[in-house]
Amino acid sequence: MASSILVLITKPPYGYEEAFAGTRLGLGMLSSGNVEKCSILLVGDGTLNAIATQRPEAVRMPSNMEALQDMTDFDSKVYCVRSDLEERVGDVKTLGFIEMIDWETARKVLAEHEMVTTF
Amino acid sequence: MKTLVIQLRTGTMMNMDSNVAVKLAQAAVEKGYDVRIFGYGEGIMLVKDGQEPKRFPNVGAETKELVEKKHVEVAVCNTCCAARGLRRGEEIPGMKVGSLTNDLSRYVAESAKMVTIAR
Amino acid sequence: MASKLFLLMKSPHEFTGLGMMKNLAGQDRSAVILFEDAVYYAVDKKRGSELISAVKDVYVIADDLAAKGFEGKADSGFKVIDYPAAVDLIMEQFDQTITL
Repeated sequence: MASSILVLITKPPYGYEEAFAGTRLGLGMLSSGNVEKCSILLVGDGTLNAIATQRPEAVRMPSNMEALQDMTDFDSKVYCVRSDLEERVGDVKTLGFIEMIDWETARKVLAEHEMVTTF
Repeated sequence: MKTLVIQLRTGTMMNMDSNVAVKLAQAAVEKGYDVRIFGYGEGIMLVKDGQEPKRFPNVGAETKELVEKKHVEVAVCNTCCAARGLRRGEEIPGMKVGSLTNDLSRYVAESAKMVTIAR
Repeated sequence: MASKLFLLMKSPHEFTGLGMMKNLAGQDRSAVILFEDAVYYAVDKKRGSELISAVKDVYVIADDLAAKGFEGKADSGFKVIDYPAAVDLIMEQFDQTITL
């Protein structure tokens, strides 16, 4: 009987629907009252969702930034592996509500959740 | 007995992901586990009534058998259905056009393990 | 820490997440089950050995391997299993299942 689930986002924004869909899943879990804890961890290309200067209206897509921020309304955490982001685009401005972490911390976050689902 | 929740996010005819989901479900029920399947994104196509693939396995029919004979619960995301034009009433009898909040969250809370079938 | 079972469906030439898999696994007990196109790892000497070095055990789904023409041809180090064995790994042998 799981009471916690981690949403692991590995896909970049505005191409695949995955990052948005993963966040919606997270919100669904949190709003249900059935699942106590749900966090989001951005890894690999998924870290590109943490970039603060995204302008999704340019491609008429809903904002992944807003969707991720909605998680914080439930006191839920959004984490991003800093090294994966830097490896891809260097040192860029990231969204303030996202906690930038290293891989060792990411593994601890992983261990705090019973289930993991990947997007 | 423990429960397995399978989250399917691939359409029935895109590749063999749906077949993998169904085979895992069949093997799990044969071993005595309870199984829940939730279709999200393209995975909603699993419940579309009237699937008649020529030469390929009919995953809709195989899943229907699991629902009818092995008490497997199947639900899909209503928002994803609306986006793709799959209307309530078009689902295979016994399967549910449901939601992340009401159905997947319950499946998570009832289950010991989750498997995500997606690309 | 939690033991981790990775599920892989992509072919060795399509999958680019081996580094991510290693980072997710860390020092924890980990294994991978190869489904669909991922079974080609079992006959790809270079990428197969890279995968074997990344996790403790690598399992291959037998019917996918047979469908692609490599029944009985998996390299040593790959454990060929059926679906009931995969279910046992998922339900009983590992804490978390992670699809990559």
